[in-house]
Amino acid sequence: MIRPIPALGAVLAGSLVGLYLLPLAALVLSVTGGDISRAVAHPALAPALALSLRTSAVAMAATVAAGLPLALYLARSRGRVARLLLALLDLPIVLPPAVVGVALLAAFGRGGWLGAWLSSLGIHVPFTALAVVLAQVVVASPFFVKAAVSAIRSVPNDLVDVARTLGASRTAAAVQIVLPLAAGGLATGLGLAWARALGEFGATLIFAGNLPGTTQTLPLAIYTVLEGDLSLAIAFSLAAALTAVVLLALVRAGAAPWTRRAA
Amino acid sequence: MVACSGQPDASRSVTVFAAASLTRVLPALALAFARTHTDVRIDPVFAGSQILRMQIEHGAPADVFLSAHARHVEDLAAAGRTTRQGPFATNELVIAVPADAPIADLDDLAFGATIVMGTEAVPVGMAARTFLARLEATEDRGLAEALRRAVVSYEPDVRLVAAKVARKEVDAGFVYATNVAADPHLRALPLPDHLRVPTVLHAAIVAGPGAPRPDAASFFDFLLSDEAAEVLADYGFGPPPPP
Amino acid sequence: MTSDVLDVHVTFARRGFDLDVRLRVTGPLVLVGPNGAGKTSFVRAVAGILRPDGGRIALGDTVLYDEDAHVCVPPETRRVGYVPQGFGLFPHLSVLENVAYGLRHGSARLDAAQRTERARAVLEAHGALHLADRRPADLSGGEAQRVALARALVIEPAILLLDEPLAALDAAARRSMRTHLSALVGKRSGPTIFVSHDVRDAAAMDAPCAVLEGGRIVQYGNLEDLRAAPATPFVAEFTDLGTPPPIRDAPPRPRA
Repeated sequence: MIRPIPALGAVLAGSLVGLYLLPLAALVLSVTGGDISRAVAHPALAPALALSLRTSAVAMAATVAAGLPLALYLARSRGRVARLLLALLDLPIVLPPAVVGVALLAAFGRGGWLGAWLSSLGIHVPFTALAVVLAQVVVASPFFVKAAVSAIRSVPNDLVDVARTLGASRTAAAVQIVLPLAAGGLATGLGLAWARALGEFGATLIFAGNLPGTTQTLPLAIYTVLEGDLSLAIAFSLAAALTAVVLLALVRAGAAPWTRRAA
Repeated sequence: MVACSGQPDASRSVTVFAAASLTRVLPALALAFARTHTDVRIDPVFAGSQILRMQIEHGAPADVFLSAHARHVEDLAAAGRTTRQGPFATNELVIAVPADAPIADLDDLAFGATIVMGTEAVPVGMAARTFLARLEATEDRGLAEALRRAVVSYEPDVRLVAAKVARKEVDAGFVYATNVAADPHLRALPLPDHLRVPTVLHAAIVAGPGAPRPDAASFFDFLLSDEAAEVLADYGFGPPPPP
Repeated sequence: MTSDVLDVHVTFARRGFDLDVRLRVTGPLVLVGPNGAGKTSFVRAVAGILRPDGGRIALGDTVLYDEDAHVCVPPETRRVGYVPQGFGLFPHLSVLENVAYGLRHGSARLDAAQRTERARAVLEAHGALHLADRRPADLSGGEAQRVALARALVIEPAILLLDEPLAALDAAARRSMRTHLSALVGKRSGPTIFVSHDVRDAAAMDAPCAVLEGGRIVQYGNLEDLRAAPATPFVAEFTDLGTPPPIRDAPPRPRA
């Protein structure tokens, strides 16, 4: 086995950290007070931020509500279907978001499989806030489900078995035993998924479009102002980064009491 | 096909940052250029002109910039980032609808239709805004307002607008005449003469950090040649306005 | 209290795992056998956690499982007290909450105060009341075993299943728990299945032994009968009190 040279390791690790911090520092340092006040006053910022928060919150609620039962199934089942589904979960993660956007159009667009039927009911998904939410769920929820599966798998089966003999139904055992013990991993997964949803750009642009107040999320707003004014875009980006950091911290703090109890 | 003439020398290449509306014609132009310059390769980069301009401002290694609007080239020239520039072709704004859609004219878009157009900074979006302002001033204020309200998305380049109309995700979109000419799924709505918005495409040689690139100048000159005009005409572009 | 008879016939026919066991359990029973004989699968089948491939399980007139009749009562309604290997205590709950857990469910809806009172009483009966506010992580092996027992018994189970309850304990804790368990099993009237691989457990329980080997019951009877006429080499070795059981502890650690 080759032992890494400590000094070389430190240099490599340090350069990775530098790669994380440098653009962030450049972002923060290149913003002037004037840029910030211009960004705050810009008519696109507040609606975009509000839309991003609203759509990502709905997307995360849907992700947790549907992702938890899915993760419980995937974590406990060793069947062929479960293994296939687990492999499929990687697809939205590895596919370019633009491809996801095109795929969503193919499914929910006017001429799409479901879209044609939805249109006949008078429901049009593309270019609505619902499309934004759908795009976010598709690209972000796999991060949550995958984290949830491994967190749930780390809870010993015995505990569920005992809970069942003590009168707990399958659901009660999942809610009272498995989920509290998996809370730390679930929170990490939710934080990852939320950050991914907030940053969603490609699939949203193609599937939901770019209309201020309706489908223009913060990343789309950044891209739109970037076309004319880079320093303004940087100030917008700072707002986006700040939002993500605050949300991640909130998710972690929310899960802290659970993780401490389970430890 | 091209490879028959042998591998061009990697050092002899011209990086061309081109407006998204040139996506189809530029490879044909490169092929025509290669007839007289067998050893020079053209490397195209396509995006909305405003994105390319921003990248050039931040030092992107472009040799030639082809913009769908004069503004982006003029701003770069004013900042000393170009050495030569000038118009090389014209295009025209059209309202495209799916080829088989039951839409005959503008009035059919006034009620319940969905429309996409470019953002404020992309040339095709600027042209669309010029059109709407003209419609409002000369014709029908209500129709202009209805069309504005029908917009469901502002796209960062013309390809995205054209694709959404061709896929029938929307009823109409503001694109260029060349987009409609190139895509059998699209049809242009007839417009009265006074509402037509011609656009002028500008080329520029980007001032690089090193010595001037003679190949960039050759390609720039080629764009103004009759040979290039013929290729451009094949793809629906008009000749540049007389100076 | 009248005790019901537990009639079990379970079969497993899976790749690499073939089991066919018929057992009639009236009171305490010690189930012994080598590793991999199928003891845990048998116990889990009785608990309702693992569905067998065939057979029938009935407690008195109540059918818990009948493959042919497509009956499989879920574990939560079988009234089974189950202590798995390693105790299975809920690490995020206190000892008191662990014991009270079984009172949250089922038909006897108790309010929180009643549940606490009941759980404390059962803990006290097992000499573990002083542990009530601790976390499972802070318990010794013997303490954890007492808590796990109390938790299983708080629901007043019709059937008690103890899977190798003493295996994880050190020698001293094992001796004291063995005494505690034999007293408890002696007092119980319902079917109790005690899985073990230690002859001293069997001796202390004063109960019939069933020997499970290779998925079949190879011998059934009192320890003395088994010792007098062992049916297999395993039974002979298991019942041989003369030689000390094989040392299972880790070899002495080499000095650093």
